[in-house]
Parts: sequence; structure tokens; C-alpha cells
Amino acid sequence: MTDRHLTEAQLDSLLDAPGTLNIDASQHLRACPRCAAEAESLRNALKNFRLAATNLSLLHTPSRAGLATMRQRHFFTFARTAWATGLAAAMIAGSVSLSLLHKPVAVTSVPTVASSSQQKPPAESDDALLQSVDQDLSTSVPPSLQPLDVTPAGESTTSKQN
Amino acid sequence: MTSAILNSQVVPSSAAPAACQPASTLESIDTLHALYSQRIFRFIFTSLRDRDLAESLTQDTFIRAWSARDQFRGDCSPATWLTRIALNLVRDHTRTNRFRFWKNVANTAVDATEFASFLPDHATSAESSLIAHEQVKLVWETVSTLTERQRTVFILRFVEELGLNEIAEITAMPMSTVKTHLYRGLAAIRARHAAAAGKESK
Repeated sequence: MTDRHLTEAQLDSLLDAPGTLNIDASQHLRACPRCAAEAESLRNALKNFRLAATNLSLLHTPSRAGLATMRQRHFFTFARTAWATGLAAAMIAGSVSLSLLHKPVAVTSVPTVASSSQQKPPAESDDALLQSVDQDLSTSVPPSLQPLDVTPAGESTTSKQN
Repeated sequence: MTSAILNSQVVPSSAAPAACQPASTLESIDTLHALYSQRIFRFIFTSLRDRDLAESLTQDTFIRAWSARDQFRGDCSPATWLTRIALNLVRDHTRTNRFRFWKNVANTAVDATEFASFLPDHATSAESSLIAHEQVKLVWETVSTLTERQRTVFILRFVEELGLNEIAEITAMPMSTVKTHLYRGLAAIRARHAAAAGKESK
């Protein structure tokens, strides 16, 4: 026999699986009244705990009649849930169809002058524009008025004299 | 009076090994209920400590099992399968209704003294009967201080007397985790037991 008392782990093993205790520990348990008493007391406590739970459950386990009531209750709960779901679905469908009927006219955006001007590519530069204007002015007769410029010589002198 | 009723109703621990029942018990909800309702109720009750709630969740367990019986593949015993459903219900209930649950439990919970009164009076003397009642009260109180997982594993091992493999299957925890929770629970029981024994000896 060993002089050392059972360790906590050995006590746990003894309670959980009594057959797993090693030979030394088993011998000690047989010879040591303190360890034997502790192990026995714990074992009894656990056994009594189970007995009390078992007795309580024998007296209070719900009957099969209770099960039938429960099934009925579950059925009604299911039916109620189904009705509620159906009603909710119908309401959602109704609101969706109403919203489709009263669909607001889509507002189209009118392009503003500023925005259109912004979108245009930059025109020719100012210098080029001025140059073209100068060129137009420096031309004595614009090309479109050239047919009018061909006048009889006498007519022109008369007019000069007048 | 309770003791008188109980003495005639004590079931030996070897009785009703429901785990050995074949899967054919799933053919009728009445058979299923007759075979397993007591142990399912016991598990739920010791987990939640509320009789009314345990009754309600026991019925829920059977209704749920019956609705899902097609999913039972038979790779575990019906008892294991039912206990797993019961455990899920207990977890759902305590997690989703945490605040309301604790409030309700405070009103209808079974206390240690009431629970100990269900212990059959087989003691040879008044003193040993008193000791047994005190031990049961102590375990009942200590179990309430365990974490949810420790409590579940402890109850499955020492009340339902399931093997570690089955516990691992029911709780979906690895075997090593089951052992850890079990030994922590046992350590708490041992500590309280030793403290009480120390007080008595003084």
C-alpha cells in the first residue's frame, strides 16, 4: 500500500469510471479509511442526486394526454402562423399593386444652356476668330455680293456726278 | 407523504435502459413518449430546475422529434437523438429568453430542500437520512453554479448515466472537451463536499 492519499484526479476517475483505478490506488483505497470514506460519500451523494431526480420525474413526467393537447396547440399555432403569413403576403401584394397603379411620371431632366455649353468642345480660339473677321472685312466685296458688283461704267460715272 | 409515494416508485438505476430500444419505436409517437418521456423530462428538469418549463419542453421535444422523424437515420439510438433535441431546446430557451427565463425561474424554481424531499427514505437511521438529504441539497446547489456546458455534461453522465461517447455525440463536443467539463464539474462537487465535511467535523 502507498502512504499517499488518492489525488483529485484519481478520485474523479473513481467516481466516473471505478474500474480505471490503477493497482496502487486500489490497494490504497482498500487500506485507507479516510480515502475510502471520502470516495463512498461522494459516490452516495451522486447516487442520491440521481435517485431524487428520477423520483421527481416519475411524479411529474407529462402524460400522453398532455402530448395530445400540446400537438393540438402546435397545430393551432401553425394554423395561426399560416393565416398571419397569408394575410401579410396579401397586404404586401395589395400595396405593391397599388403603388404600381399610382406610378409617378418620370421627371426627365432638361438640359440647361450652361450644361450644354459645358458639354460642347471648345470652339476655335479668339485669335483665329478675329483673324477670320479681319479677313472678311479686308475683302472689298464679299463673295456672295460679287455678282452685284459688276456694274456698267457710265452708270457709275453718272452716279458719281450726281 | 411524498416519501410514502416515492418509496413505492423508486426505479433501480438498471431499469428502463431506453437507449437499447430500436429505431422502430419511432413508428408511433405514443410508444416513443412512453419509452423516453421520463428520462427526457428528468434531463430537462435537472438542467432548468423548473417543473412547468420542463413539462412544456418535454412535450416540445417529442413533437419536434415526431415532425422530424424522417430525418432520423438510425446511426444513434432514439434516446440519444431525443436527448440532443431536448438539449437544443434547453439551449434555445435559455439563450433566447435569457432575462425572462431567469425571472420566471426565480418564481417557479424547485429549491434544494424541495428537490431533496424526493429522495426515497431508505436510510437505516434518521441521521443517515439527514446526511443523504444534505448531500443531495449540496449537489443540487453546486450543479446550479456550474457553467451551462459543465452542467449538461455532469447531468448526462451522473443522472442519465450515459457514456462519454454518447455525451460527445449529444453535445457535439470532442471527447477531450467532454472530459474537461466533466472533471471541472466533479471538482466543484468535490470542493463543496469537502468544505461541508470540514464544517461538520469542526
